[in-house]
Amino acid sequence: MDGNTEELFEIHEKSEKWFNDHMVEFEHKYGSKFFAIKNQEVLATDEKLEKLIKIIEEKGEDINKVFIASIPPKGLAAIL
Amino acid sequence: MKIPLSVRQRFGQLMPFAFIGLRSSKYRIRPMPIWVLVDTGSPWTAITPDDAMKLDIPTHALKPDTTYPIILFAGDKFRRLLLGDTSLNIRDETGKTVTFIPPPITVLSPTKKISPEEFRGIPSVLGDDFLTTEGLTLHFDPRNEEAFLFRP
Repeated sequence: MDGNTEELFEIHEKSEKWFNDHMVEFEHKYGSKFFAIKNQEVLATDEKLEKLIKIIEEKGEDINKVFIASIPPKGLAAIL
Repeated sequence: MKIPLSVRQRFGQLMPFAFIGLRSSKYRIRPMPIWVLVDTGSPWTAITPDDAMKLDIPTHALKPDTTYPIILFAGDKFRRLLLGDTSLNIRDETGKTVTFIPPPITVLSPTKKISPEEFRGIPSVLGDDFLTTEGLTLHFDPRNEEAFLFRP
């Protein structure tokens, strides 16, 4: 397995854990949105995923290293 | 082989999640890992429209499944598109990445326009087909927040 794959897993695992630890705070601050997370920082948020991806690319970030998460609208749940 | 899963709260309940990476020998898709729910209620591993967009999967080029062309997922109707010739990466308990050759991956394509917020926060799923093909068992103990996939 190439080192790049291992690195991407490590980056995303750290970002996901950080996002999960701060999810309640982010929900209060931003509401239901898509979030771009990198290095324990919110790079950007947007209502639309397509627009968020464009913002990440415009910032010159390697999108593969950015964890994109989302918070569902309040009161809306799903059974899969 | 043991594959640790993360137990996270969604909709007020605990559920088992993991990161997976997908590679296609046919299409150029982004190598970023995606966060999936291990869902034994799903017959297949299925990628949501949001994750398909993140991975830049060329959904227009994918063939629809002929046996189950329409499926219901999270209350909405989707076309079932198939992404074959893929490999699926996941990390084992030692942190090493293990590669599997899964059955064709289901890519969900909406049959109608869905509002962006309607699907926000709904994860892709690692389904029964993957567990069955790979001979993996799921251990899930929500009270102790412990979950893993295991193959003797």
